[in-house]
Amino acid sequence: MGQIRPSLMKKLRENGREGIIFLSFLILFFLTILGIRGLKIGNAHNPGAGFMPFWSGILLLLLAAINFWRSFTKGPKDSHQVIKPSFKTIFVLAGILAYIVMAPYLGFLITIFLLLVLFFSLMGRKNFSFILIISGATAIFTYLFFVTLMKCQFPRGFLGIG
Amino acid sequence: MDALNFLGYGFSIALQPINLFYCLLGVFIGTLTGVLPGIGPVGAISLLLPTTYGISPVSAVIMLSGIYYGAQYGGSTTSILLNIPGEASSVVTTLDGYKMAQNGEAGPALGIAAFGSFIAGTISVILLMLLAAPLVKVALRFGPPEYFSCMILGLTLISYLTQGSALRGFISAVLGFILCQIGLDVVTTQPRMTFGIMNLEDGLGLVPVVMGLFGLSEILINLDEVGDFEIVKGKIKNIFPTRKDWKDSIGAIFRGTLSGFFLGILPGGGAVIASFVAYALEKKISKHPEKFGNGAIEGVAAPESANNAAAGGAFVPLFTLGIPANVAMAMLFGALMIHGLTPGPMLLKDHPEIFWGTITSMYLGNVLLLILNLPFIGLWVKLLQIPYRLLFPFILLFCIIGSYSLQNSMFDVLIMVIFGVVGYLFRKIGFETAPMILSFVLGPLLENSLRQSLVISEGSLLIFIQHSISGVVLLVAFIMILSAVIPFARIFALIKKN
Repeated sequence: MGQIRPSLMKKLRENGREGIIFLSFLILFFLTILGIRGLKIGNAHNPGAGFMPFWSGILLLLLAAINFWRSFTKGPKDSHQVIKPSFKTIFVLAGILAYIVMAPYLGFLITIFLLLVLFFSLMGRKNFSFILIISGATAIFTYLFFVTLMKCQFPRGFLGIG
Repeated sequence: MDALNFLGYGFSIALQPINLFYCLLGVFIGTLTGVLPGIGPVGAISLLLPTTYGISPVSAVIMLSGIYYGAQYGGSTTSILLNIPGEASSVVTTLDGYKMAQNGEAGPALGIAAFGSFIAGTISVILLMLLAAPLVKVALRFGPPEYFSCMILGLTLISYLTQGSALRGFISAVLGFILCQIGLDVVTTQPRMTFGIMNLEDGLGLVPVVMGLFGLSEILINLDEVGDFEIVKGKIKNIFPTRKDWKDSIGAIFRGTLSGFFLGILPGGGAVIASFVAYALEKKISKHPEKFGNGAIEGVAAPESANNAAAGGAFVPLFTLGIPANVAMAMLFGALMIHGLTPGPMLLKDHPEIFWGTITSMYLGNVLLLILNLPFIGLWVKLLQIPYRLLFPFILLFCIIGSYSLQNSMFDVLIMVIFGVVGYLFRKIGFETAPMILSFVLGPLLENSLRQSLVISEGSLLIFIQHSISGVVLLVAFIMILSAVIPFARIFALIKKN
């Protein structure tokens, strides 16, 4: 027993990521079940609205459990990459999320200009005037192309342009 | 005679100036996406999908198809000149193509890649035309149980043949199936998994999901590993293959075409596997296998022919059974559905203009691609010199606008971001996203055919076994799932050891 425990602990440490993956699928399963609460599941004779989500949720949980178990018997995968997003990745995501929140207030033109300034700055351009010119030109061209030509309706914001 | 009549009918549609324009636009964008690393044909199709609402379905399908097979042509340019495949199906071309470029033979490598692609593309269209019409007749006899089983087999094959673990492919497919069920239930109109969010009642949109999984996640991955690429120096000359080049490659082109076409038909097989198989086959039968990896022209001709032939083959299951063989075909499937058309055997019967118009446009598209890829090769080389750091903000901009413009909804942009993160994490932890998208697209049809089958059989699941075709198809799928879930090889090894 004393010998098994350290080896199990070692395996657990090595397979920590597999554990997190399994946990994520477990959460997804519960979300699926939560999402169909109150709906009839039924059976093969009379399937209800919750029939397919319920059984596909069960299947997902089953496959995730097998995957987790196999990671223990096989050991950790070498092919896995390290999940360590660069600051650029985080800034890009944060930028788009900020765009989603701010666009209805500031309007499409201003927010897309600011977003492009962020993107070009992230890519290491030192010349700030170049960044401002290319971002401005792209924002105006995009606006004219999509609004005038493609008849898209972008958020107008407080300036009423969009 | 029927086929010739239909071919004439197809040309009368494909040669209409508007369709010719969309064909040219499609193959141009396809070559562009193939040439530029960072955005593939799937991303390009999803970006352009919203723009097709205002045009006729036949023009839309002609353009989107052009992007798909055009990308296979363009992918070779970056493989040969940069040692970076523009497309996954051109990975194997880097082995000999880049070596040829380093040896000062970039011209012949690009030339044989273009001519091989042209020959393969044209032959695959002929095979598609000959094979699709008889297969449609068989598919017309299929009922809901057969459709259900074929879709299950398709999804199983895609998950099974996916890179890495098949089990993870299955998990990805099941996840896609769950995601497609978000929204109102078609039968009872009750909301499923919407959590009270109104925007979810119509379900998740295909375009934001695909743009997130294939567009944004690609950029996020590249941001982690970014670096600009070094192009092979020197002028590109002698682009037209010599008699010796032809003699060395013609066999490889035809073998690559045949193997590629039939591997392309298999759901999950596709252009990537076809190119690897063609390369391995050539190396195996070559009298000088040592030349492979050191600049053998056959090593460029075979995979480039195979990936183009596979692109043609992938249309067979879509047009005959309504089952997309890969993610790009799933996008085409989505495009047809958006235009109110159901891909499958009824498409040929009810909308022959789409079927024959698209097929014949491929003949024209292949000619256009040859022109674009040979005399204009300098243009593509110039484009390759644009640094990635300048391209990525534009790609992101298109992802954001493409997601938004579908329903003028910021919620769709949020969905794109969420799936961008999901795609990023999936790639990092070794899960493929292709099975997820395919089951996401096929899910509603799968659920529908299952429910219809159960209504027909009054709730008996035996209906899937009682129908012989369905039974055989399900058995094959079951064996594949079992072999992925149960480690038979290890069990046999253990028994042998003991």
